[in-house]
Parts: sequence; C-alpha cells; structure tokens
Amino acid sequence: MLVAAFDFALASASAACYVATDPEALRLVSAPAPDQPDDGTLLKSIAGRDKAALRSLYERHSPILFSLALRILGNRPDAEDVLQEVFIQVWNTAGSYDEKRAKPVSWLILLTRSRAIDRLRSRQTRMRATEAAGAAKPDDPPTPIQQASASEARALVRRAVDLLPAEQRLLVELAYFGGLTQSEIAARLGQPLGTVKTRMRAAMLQLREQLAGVLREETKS
Amino acid sequence: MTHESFREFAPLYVIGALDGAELVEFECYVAANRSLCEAELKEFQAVADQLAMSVPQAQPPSGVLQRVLAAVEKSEKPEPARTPVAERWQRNGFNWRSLIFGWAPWAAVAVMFVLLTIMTNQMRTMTHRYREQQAEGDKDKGIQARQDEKISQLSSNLDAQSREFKTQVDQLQTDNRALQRDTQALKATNLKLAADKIELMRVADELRKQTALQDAQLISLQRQAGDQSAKLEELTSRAIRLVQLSDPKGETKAAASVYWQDAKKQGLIVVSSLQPVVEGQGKALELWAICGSEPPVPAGLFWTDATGHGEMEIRLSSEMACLDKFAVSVEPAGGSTSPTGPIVLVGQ
Repeated sequence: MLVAAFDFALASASAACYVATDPEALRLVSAPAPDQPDDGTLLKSIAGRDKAALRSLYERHSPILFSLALRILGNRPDAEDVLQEVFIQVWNTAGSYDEKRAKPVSWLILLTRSRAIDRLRSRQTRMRATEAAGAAKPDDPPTPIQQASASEARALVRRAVDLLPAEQRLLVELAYFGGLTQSEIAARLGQPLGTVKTRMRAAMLQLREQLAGVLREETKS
Repeated sequence: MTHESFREFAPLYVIGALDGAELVEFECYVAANRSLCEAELKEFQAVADQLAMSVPQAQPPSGVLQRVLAAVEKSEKPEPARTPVAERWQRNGFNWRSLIFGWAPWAAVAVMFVLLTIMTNQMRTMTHRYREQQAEGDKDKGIQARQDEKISQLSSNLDAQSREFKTQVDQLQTDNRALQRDTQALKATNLKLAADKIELMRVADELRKQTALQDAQLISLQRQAGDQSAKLEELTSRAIRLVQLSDPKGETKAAASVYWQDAKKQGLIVVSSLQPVVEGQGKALELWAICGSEPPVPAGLFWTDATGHGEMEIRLSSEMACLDKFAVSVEPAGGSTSPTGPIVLVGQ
C-alpha cells in the first residue's frame, strides 16, 4: 500500500537504455526567453516590491510547485493553499534570499516542500494523502495526456527513480514526499536505522549518477 | 563531525531524512564550513529538486494567483512622502542673509540633516525588520492557528476521554458491587460445601466399612458358591441319576429327590413337604435301598426341620449288587435293620 502510495508511474520502457540527445530536452525548468529576466533578477525585483515580477515568477514556477504540494498533500485545496502561502512568503522575504546558498528554483521548492510537510503533519492527513496518492498503481502506464505533457527530462528523472531498487525508492519517497525522518521511517517499517540510512544514501548517489546529464543542463540554465 | 561524515549525511539532509543529534551536528558543521560544503550540498540539493520536478504536472487554478496578488496588495502600506531638502530650498528660496546672519539655524539644520539621515537609515532597517517580522508573523499566525486547532482538538478529546473515564468508573463501581455480592454468595456456598464435604466424608467412611464387610461376605459367599457349584456339578453330571419319591398312598404332597451316582454308590436325598420328623423327639426317618426282591438295605437316618424339609448324604456299600428303589419310613430314633414304621415316601 505504501509502495503504491508513492507512485512514480512511468512508461514501461527501460531507462537503462535511454539516451537523451537534445540538451534542451534535459531541462526540467524551461529557460526564460532571451527577453525575459531570469529567476534571480525576478527575485531582486520582487524584493523591490515589483508585483509584475511576482506574477512572472508565479507563472514560471507555479505548476511545478503546485504539483509538488499536490503530490505531498494528496488534495487540491490544500495544495492551492500551500502555493498561495509560498508566493506570499516570497513577496515578503525575497530580500533575504541568498543566491549563493541555493538556486531560486531550489529555494522555491524548499519553501513549498516545508510548508506542505508542515501542513501534512499538522492536519494529520498523511494517511489520506497516502491513500489519495495511491489511487494509481505503480505499474499503471501514464495517460496520453500525461505522455503528451511530460517533458523528456521529466520522464528521464522518473525512469531514474523507477530504476531504484523498490526498497530504496520507498525510503526516498517516504522521506521526501512523506515528510518522515530516518528514525520515523525505521520505526514505521521495522527496519534497523543503519539499514535505512545506507539504503537512502545509496539511492541518492545512484540518482545523482543517473541524472548527471540533467543536472549539468540545470546548472547551465 | 568530519567532512567524511558531512558527505554521508548530505544526501539524507536534502531529502529531510536527517534528524536528532545528527541533524544538529550537520547544520553546525555546514554553518562553520560554508565555503567547503556549499558546492557539494548544492549538488545533492539539485538531485532532490529533480525528485520534486519529476512528479506528474498539474496546473493550479487561476484563482490562486489572484489570491496571492490580493494578499500582496493588502499587505502593501504606502510610505509617507519625503520632501528633499534641496526641493525645500528651491521652493522657499535661498536666503544669503540667513546664511550669514543665521549660522545657528543653519547649524541646527545641518544637525537635523545628520539626524534625519540616521533616522532614515534606522527607519529602513526597522521597515526591513518589520517586513521580516510580518513574514514571521504570518508564519506564527499559521502556527498559532494550527496550535489553536490542536488545543481545541485536544480539549475535545480530553472531554470525551473524561466522559468515557467517568462512564468506565461508574461501570467499575457497579461491577465492584456485583462482585462483592457474588463474593458473599460464594462464601456462603463455600461454607455449605465444606459442611457437605464433612458429611460426605463421614458417609464415605461408613460406606468403606460396609464395603469391607460386604467384601468379606462376598468372599464367604463366593466360597459357598464354589462349594455349591462343585455339588451341583457333581449332581448334574451324566453319572448322576435322579430318582423322584412320593407318598405311596398319594394322600400328602410329600416328595423327595434322590441324586444318585452309581459309580461311587453315593447320593443325596432332599425331602420336602413331609410331616416333620424333628431330631430329638424319639423318631427318625430311615432311607432304604432296595435291589429287586432282596430285603431293603438301611441307607441312613435323617430328620426334617419344622417345615418338613430335610437332606442327607447317602453312602452305600460297594458290595450292593443293584439298586432299583428308594423308600423312606418313620423309625425309632436309633433306626431299624428292616422297616418297622409306616413307609412315607417311595420311588424308583
């Protein structure tokens, strides 16, 4: 059930044989058009109380942040609330954003995940979210719409995650999307803490290795 | 913490898995070695970002952006307009006279300008802090709301638990009273059972005595039965002949049975319903064995009881050639060599 809940439903093609040839296809976040300011510039403008910049940043990143919140919380109203709170927080704290510490998108993801996990814990909707997210089975193929809308890079990341051994994938998903710490996971699954740590670390190292191409393109962008 | 430990923990930190003392140690190490850790941490953070960006995409409704902008609009407060000093000078005109003759006011203005600059900076700092606090306040409000919700929920739970607890206490008290009644009843029952047990032990002891007595009687009866069985076996064997005797005149119901064993010349006579001839009253019944026309041979004296029942074992001499009849006569107590009294039974 837990495995089912954390659904990375992917296409059945083997990711091991996947080779992406188009660098642009390896970007999960579309690079801004040449005449559009980048994220860092937008954040500086927001710090200067520029509402248009806030709108631009929202239009650029809200689908990803909303999807993340929806993935964690399992229902749209909660995900909408989190998205709203995140952008209000961006408006209020953009001046304190430090570009040296994290990329703008990483900062936005961090804010979104933190708020979603807080909400998940405070409202004790973990089980509800788990069940909601588990509505689709892991082996379900993506719908045509999903296939059409998913970018090549996103599919590659999904496949990389899907290639993880099931026990490692479960641990990473419980931590990242379920908001559970290593001790909570060990207690919940009845596994030794050392085993949980080792498997999660191995999973992250494997992901880093397999997603090296995507990460390089993201760094460039 | 060593840098090696940092590298072990970094992948766990970026997905929020690190906790407890390890989390504290990790964050302290990163704070103290920011330049050393920054690149590696960013690298793992990017991996975690990929997880976030890999989820199936969904579009938020347009209303969310409107709500964000409305909230932003509401939070905006217009700052008071400041008139630069130069503008004031331009508006009011530059007065050399006051410059020459009024150095004191000018000095005051200069001091005020310095103070104004300092205050402006402080104002900016305070505004920045205010915004930060406002952001924190929003967060605190959210936390406060969640805490209120939790407190409300806990209070409801406490009330419910209190009611449940009281119900359980009432139930326990009821159960306790019932148990006390049951205990008293059990004590009474126990006393009665103890009395019954004593009585039963007494009865059992009596029964044991009776059983021992009956066992002794049984052994005696078994012995007698054995004897009787031997006699019966002897009497019912094929070598035994049964001779029925009756009143020769047919006037009484007197009868006798002689169980006779030719081979041993031995037998048993059992008489019944005979006119009683009791021992010690001067008379005796004498059995006679008769062979053809030979004179009767005395076969023994016997008596009956008061009911006319009597028995006697018969033993004849092996020299007796044959035996055709038996007869019983009433003779003097010492018996006779030939019948002298009336013949009461005869049979062949």
